[in-house]
Amino acid sequence: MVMEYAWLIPALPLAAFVLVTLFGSRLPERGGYISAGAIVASGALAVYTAWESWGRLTESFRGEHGHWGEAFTWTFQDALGTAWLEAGNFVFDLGVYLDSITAWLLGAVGILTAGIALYSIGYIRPEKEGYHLDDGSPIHVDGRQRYYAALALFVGSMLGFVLGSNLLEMFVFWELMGLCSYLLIGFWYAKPSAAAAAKKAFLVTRVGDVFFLGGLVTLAVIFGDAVGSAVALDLSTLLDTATIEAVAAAHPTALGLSVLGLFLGAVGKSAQLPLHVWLPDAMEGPTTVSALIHAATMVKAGVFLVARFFPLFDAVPWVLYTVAVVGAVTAFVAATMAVVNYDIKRVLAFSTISQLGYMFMGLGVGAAVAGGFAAGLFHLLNHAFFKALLFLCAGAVGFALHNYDMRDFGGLKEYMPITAWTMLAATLAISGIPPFSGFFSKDELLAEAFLAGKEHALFYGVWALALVTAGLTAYYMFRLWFMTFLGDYRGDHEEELADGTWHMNLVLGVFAVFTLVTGFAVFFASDNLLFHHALEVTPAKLVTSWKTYLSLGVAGAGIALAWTRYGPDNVEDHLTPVGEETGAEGVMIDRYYVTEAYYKATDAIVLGLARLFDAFDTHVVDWSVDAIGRFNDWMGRVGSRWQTGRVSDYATWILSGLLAFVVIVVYILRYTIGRGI
Amino acid sequence: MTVPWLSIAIFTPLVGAVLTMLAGRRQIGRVVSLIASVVPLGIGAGVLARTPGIDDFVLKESIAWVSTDSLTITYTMALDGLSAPLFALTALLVAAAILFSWEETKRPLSFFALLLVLETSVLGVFAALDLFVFYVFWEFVLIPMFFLIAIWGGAHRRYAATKFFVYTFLASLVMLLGFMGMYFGLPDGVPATFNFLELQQYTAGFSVELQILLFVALLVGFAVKMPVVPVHTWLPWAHVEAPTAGSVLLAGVLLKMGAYGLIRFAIGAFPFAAVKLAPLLLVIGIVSILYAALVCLAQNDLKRMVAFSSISHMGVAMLGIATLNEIGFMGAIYMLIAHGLLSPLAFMMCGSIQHGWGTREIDKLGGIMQKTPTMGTFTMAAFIGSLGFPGFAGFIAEIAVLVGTYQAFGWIVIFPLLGVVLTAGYYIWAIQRALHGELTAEHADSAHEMPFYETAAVGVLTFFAIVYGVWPALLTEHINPFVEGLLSTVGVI
Repeated sequence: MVMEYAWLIPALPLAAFVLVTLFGSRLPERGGYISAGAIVASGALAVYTAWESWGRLTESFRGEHGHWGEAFTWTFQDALGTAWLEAGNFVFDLGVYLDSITAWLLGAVGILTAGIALYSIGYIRPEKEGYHLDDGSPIHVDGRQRYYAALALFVGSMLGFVLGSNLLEMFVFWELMGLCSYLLIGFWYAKPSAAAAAKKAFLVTRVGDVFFLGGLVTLAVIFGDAVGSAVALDLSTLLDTATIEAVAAAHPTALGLSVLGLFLGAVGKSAQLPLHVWLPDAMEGPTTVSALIHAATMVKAGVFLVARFFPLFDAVPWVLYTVAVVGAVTAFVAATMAVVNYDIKRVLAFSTISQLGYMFMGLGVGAAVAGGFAAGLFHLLNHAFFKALLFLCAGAVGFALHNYDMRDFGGLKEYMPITAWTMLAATLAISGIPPFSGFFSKDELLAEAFLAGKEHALFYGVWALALVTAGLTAYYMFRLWFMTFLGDYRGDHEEELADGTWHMNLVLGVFAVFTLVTGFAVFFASDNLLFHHALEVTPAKLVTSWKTYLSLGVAGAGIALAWTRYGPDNVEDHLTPVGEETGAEGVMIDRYYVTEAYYKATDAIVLGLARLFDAFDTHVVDWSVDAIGRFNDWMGRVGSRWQTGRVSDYATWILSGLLAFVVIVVYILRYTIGRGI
Repeated sequence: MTVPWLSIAIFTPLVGAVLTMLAGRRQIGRVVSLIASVVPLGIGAGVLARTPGIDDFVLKESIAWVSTDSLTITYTMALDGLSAPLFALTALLVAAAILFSWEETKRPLSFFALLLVLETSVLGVFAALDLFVFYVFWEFVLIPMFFLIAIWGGAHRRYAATKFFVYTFLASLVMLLGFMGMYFGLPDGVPATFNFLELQQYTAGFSVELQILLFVALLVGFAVKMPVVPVHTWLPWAHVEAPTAGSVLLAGVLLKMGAYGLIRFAIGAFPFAAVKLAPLLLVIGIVSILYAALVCLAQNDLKRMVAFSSISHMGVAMLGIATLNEIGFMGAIYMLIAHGLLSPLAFMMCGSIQHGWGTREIDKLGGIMQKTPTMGTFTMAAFIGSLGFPGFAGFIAEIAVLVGTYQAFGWIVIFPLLGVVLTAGYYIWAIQRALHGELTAEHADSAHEMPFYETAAVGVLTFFAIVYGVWPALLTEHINPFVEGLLSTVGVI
């Protein structure tokens, strides 16, 4: 059956990565077809596997089979007879772990990566978009081989991460995703801003990763103590309810801190406060990369990590409360940064941070009501499609205009209708307007947070923040759409404006259909598997609940406000020229100076310490060593008449002195040992 | 008659050195030396490949050399799961170094010959099981390396070579004292011998004070060689001033001799002292990791940065040794191999950048990726591999040491984790400033790509660094039996 071959899903793109890296320069489209072909094939296999396993697996949320019930597992040790890494009592093995959470993400990632790989073939041209330095001079480097190699490595890693059967395996793929992100943000490495953004992304996420690593190391040891078996960090051990209880009883603090470590890893990867600073800068990469890695898949890995290890988080409620609060605050703060920005990709980046905050909020709410967990995962799926679509549309705009500043846009609906209408679908979805997908999941997130308020008053605060964020989201998204597609065109080169290539339009269309249909999954999925009795959503319930109308009203208000300020008649009055943002707008444009504060702190503390240690090393440690040499030399001058003062003499002096010392010590040793001391 | 494969492997380079000097022309001499260096590589690789899970000494040779009533010295050579990988690594690195220096113009025959002499001595160090023979090989290593630095080195080569020689030689004398103590400490009625396998059976019976004293003596000798903070300052001088091939072998194998000796002799003979002094080893390891990583951040010379990073990585190995548990120990030994591949790779890239761009100063570089993408890509691979990224061998070592550290010392694992962030910091920052960005380098117009022989050498090292990062079982199958054996005979597990 197909699940036996699930390891092929990551293996295909990884093989393509090796091929393109080694031989890409000689392949058609510099390896583009090989890479995209492997990604599409693996996507198809992923979707098929997800479909097959969905029907076979039985699940129950906090049910009788432990937390997650059955999963299909397959390991390399079974297949090859050797574990991946063995030392002492620790046996780390690679493999496949397929349960309904895996399947949920596997299908989505399969479709998204296949779509974006196809889009890339049309989009990534030699010397297109961004292929110029800040002073406008072009760079004549064909980056397609690098692009397709990194893309294949990324897709293989993402799928490997989702399918992984061992926490260490997941960490390896997690890091490899980060590497691809780094390489692709720095795709136009000759631009200093891209090089700086790549560095920032690597280092900021690395801070989170180190917490992840600490958590992983701790879990390996404390679970090893509890189980005593030779299998380390295996998912079936880590997710086993009885084992978790035993560990929670034996090592409560260590378990709590390691789970917090996993969450902080997720905070870095999913760009939550306070490690959110890298994602807006990551928009320096090609827009396809922003769509795939920095909107649809990699940044979801953090959410997936928390969802995957929810049984562990569930054992430490204070961490889950932290997750909910961090998520809600991030959702709100990131939204306030999005409302003033004029860079279309940055607005979408802030929006991604904000929406990821929603998902974390949902998972955290899961501490009180199971529905929060389900709604968080549901929003993950919907967001993956509509945010990928938003970025791909922004990419199509950038493809035509070579520019991402919305102050130069306007009226593009006339020139690029496919882009305009598909983007409208995605905008409606993210704003939570029915029947688009975002409505269903956002509504559920809000409803579950409110419900959780009965368990703990904290969640009322979470709910209130989320509600305000819903209004802000509708406002900044329609601000974006109005500024871009309505009114009159404000830029130049009018004659070149058009929709993208057919590859691109096809993908936009398909994704637009997804934004319309995925939301309805809630009615079919709610009675089984992932959402087993956790989301009891029926059309009747939706229509009769006051909360539905409240969130619709908030969204409507946001759209109306956006129309009054950025509608075709008023837009000219509300555009702030570059560099003239003042007051609250200025503070928000500068992202509350968090980045500057980080830079200043790093510069003062870390580099300050580094310079101090460097000086200490030269002027104290090494100086003392030489001083000993000089002392010997001096002794030589004083005590000997045949001193020459040559450099080599101080060696001679030390050596002869030491030889005498050796002889003496040997005699002492001999004497003392001989007497049995 | 059994073929003395091990002696053939050790002494072929020495014969090759003589033949190279006799070759007369560089074109012939370099081929001779490459062939001579490949012979031990083949034998070393053969041992690893043909013996699944080396769990005892293989290729053992033992000949009585000096045999009197009061003194027995035996030529006892063998390889096991600890030394076989290091043996093969040495041979690989010398071959790669010769390849990298293919177009050496300054007295090329002597240069290649010295590399081969160095190879013989280092191979002898890793194979010798008689303390006397070990000491002879150990000290002999200094001679070719001294000349490699003093003749082919940079501006301060004399100073660096002298400092290297004197510093490590002095430390070795302390180590020699330790050996003597073991010899004289033998109980009455036992035949006096320098054969470590025999000595080892009595050393655990020494008095506690003597065990600790001798352990410390050995530790001094080996710690300077590794090196660890604060006895490290010979290293930046030697590494920076040495020619690329010299730095490759210094970082790749000479540092490993220190860790190897510590594991084989100090812990092998005095496990009780190791347990007692584990906190000291722990502190040394952690201080080395953090101190050297911080110093790296302040460096402007790429080669000096890579040199200090070696100290940081050896700190990780020291930390793994301090854990005295199987996974930490395995990680420490894995680090020797991982660092033995990645650090030479990084030094080679520093050499290539020096050749191609005329400088290694970070603030005078910039845009390497644009003008010389092959050089840029390999440099990036070297740096990302060195910072312990998954997919490269260093990651396996780091994760094992971290798990071992938590198991042995609990929350102290925070300190090496901090080192992980700092390490990423200096490498990624260096990539941004030297490789990325606009073409701001001073000599950007005349910059040129690496020649094919340099590419071949770094390609081989990159390949192995990735192989051992992707499939660690290839090495752990040899290392684990050794670690189990060592830790069980010493009664720690």
